[in-house]
Amino acid sequence: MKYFLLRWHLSLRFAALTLVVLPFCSAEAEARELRVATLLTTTLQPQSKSDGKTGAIAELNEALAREVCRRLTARCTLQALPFPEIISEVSAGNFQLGVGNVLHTPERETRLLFSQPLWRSSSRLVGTPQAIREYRQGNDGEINLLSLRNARIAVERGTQQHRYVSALAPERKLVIVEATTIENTLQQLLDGHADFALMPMRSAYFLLAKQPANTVNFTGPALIEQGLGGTVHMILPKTATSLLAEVDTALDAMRADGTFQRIIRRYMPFLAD
Amino acid sequence: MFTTSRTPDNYRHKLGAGVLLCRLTAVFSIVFASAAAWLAVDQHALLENMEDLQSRTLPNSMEHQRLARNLEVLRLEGERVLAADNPENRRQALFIVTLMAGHPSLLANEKARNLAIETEIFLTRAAQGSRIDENIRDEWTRISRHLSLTADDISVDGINLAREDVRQMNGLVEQTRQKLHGAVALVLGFLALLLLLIRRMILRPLQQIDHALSDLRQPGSAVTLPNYSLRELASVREAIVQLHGLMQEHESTRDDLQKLAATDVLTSLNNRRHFMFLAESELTRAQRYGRPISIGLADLDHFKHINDIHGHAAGDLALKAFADIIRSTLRHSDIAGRYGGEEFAFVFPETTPQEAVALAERLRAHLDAWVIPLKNGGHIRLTTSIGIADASAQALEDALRLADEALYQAKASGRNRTIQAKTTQLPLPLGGHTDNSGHSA
Repeated sequence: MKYFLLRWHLSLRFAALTLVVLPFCSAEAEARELRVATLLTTTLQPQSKSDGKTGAIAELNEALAREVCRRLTARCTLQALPFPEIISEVSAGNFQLGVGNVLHTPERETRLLFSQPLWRSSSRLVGTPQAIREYRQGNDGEINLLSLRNARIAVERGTQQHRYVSALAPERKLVIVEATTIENTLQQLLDGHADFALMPMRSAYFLLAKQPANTVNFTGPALIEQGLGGTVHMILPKTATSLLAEVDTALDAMRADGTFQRIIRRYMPFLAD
Repeated sequence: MFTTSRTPDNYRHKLGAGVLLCRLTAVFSIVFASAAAWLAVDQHALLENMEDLQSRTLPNSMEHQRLARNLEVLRLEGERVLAADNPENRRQALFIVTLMAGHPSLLANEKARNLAIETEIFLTRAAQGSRIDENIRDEWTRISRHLSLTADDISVDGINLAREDVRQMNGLVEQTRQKLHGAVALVLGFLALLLLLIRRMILRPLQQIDHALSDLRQPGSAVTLPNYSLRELASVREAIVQLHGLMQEHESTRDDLQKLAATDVLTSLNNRRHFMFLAESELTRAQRYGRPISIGLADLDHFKHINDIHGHAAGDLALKAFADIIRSTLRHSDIAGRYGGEEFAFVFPETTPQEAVALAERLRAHLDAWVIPLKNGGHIRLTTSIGIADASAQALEDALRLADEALYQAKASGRNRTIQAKTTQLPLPLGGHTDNSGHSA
């Protein structure tokens, strides 16, 4: 009896010691903290998540970022930033990871590290039916960004679309209507401040799909030239090579076990990668 | 004692075992390295092919599959546009059609891009209409079939891309397998050649040397070893030949010594010691089997007179002549020896005293008739007195004593005669029979 009491006493002591030490061990294992920049799609607060489409592109990016963080066993702090700030902040090292529909371009590659591709995207003009009708008549029934003249085009600041239209604007006498977010770009169109908006198609889909009928439509050909299309990646600071390898490994694992595809399906009706 | 250097000059032109081993090792290394290099070329090509398959072909193939799937999604969404039961559903489906038609994967493929643009334009116009009539459905059936076929073609193209690489890899693997078999055969062939060389140049010579060394123990054997190409073995062969020569020389010397120890130098008959040894053996044998045997003693008559008159050289000549007559007169089975001075002893195996007396008489008669020429032109004649005794039932010493008594009696009776000793019954150490008959002649 005395022997069993002694054993019981020792077991209690061991359990108590474990309870005291275990949190420190866990804290040590999960000590890494990452700051993750995600895409700010709207300036309206808070975003409604009820229909799965409003703010869905942001939610998709956040879901991917959180899954990567979980696989890296990192405690991540997500912060939504306007697109141009994602690139500048990650490039400056203020954020260790950026998940914001960033297209790969040679210029960005000099400042950033790119993960393996997430999906591909192209750009396309979006216009109101009225504008489409007017400009089609003046251009032999065709609407093409390269043939547009004297038009007001809304673009999100700091994006490839912005850079492209800025390059065309002087010669084609185009008026650039700068927007702070992707939703703001569409809003400029809806408010009549712009005739067309040049938007990344996948992001535009989430916005256009929730608009009333005959409000806005895609028009003209989809474009992938001049950096308007290509592969979309997560981005990292130029020096974070080891973290890049971990992120790529996590993405590989996500694709291999179907997690990546399930996250995409949660927000989009198709993969189209 | 003979000595031989480790590498005699006459073997320097031959191949040393160490050099042979080094050369064989070098050749084997070259053969093995060549085979390994031969295989490494294919292995490298195989690795490159695998790398190409992994980094280029499989992604490209997967790209084709994705493109085919996107075309299929485009087709299905097109179906949804035409089948939508309300404008909102049709609009949502059209959005996806638009999105898919603008997808970079379709834009990068000319055939897919044109088809996607055609599909989007058609569906957009169809959706703008008030109703979906038969013409629209027929046209959509055509476009839909075109989309399906294009998706199938692209999918098959993607599979074929991988199939071609896999076919090339299979070819390389088969080629590598054949080369591996060739390399193994080459190495095995070389090993067989190596074993053959070792057997021919080392093992077989060693066996021959072993046999030769075994044969050395056989007296009078001849060493027959071929010439060896290995320096060390040639040196061993030479040493064995030399050893064999020395052993034969030693054997001959030993025989000469034995002969000298048993032979009287002057007469070449058995000396007294050897005669006694032979006589003892013969008596023992005869007495064991109860066979007749006789002993005789002969002494040249007036030999001192010959020495005194003609000199010792003539005496020696007389002794030699008598020895020659003994050899020519007695049988091969008889044993004769110089017993001392001018005295000779005989053993007559399988011979009764009477028969021995007859033999002795023949000897005495030959000598009596013999004329011995001298170097000075003169000649001498000799006679001998002989005593015979039966030795079949008594010891050698006793038989000799009896023969000596008979000899003395012959001398006393006027010389140049043979007398048989009277038989004396004496106890034998190991038994035997006695013959009491005796007579004198």
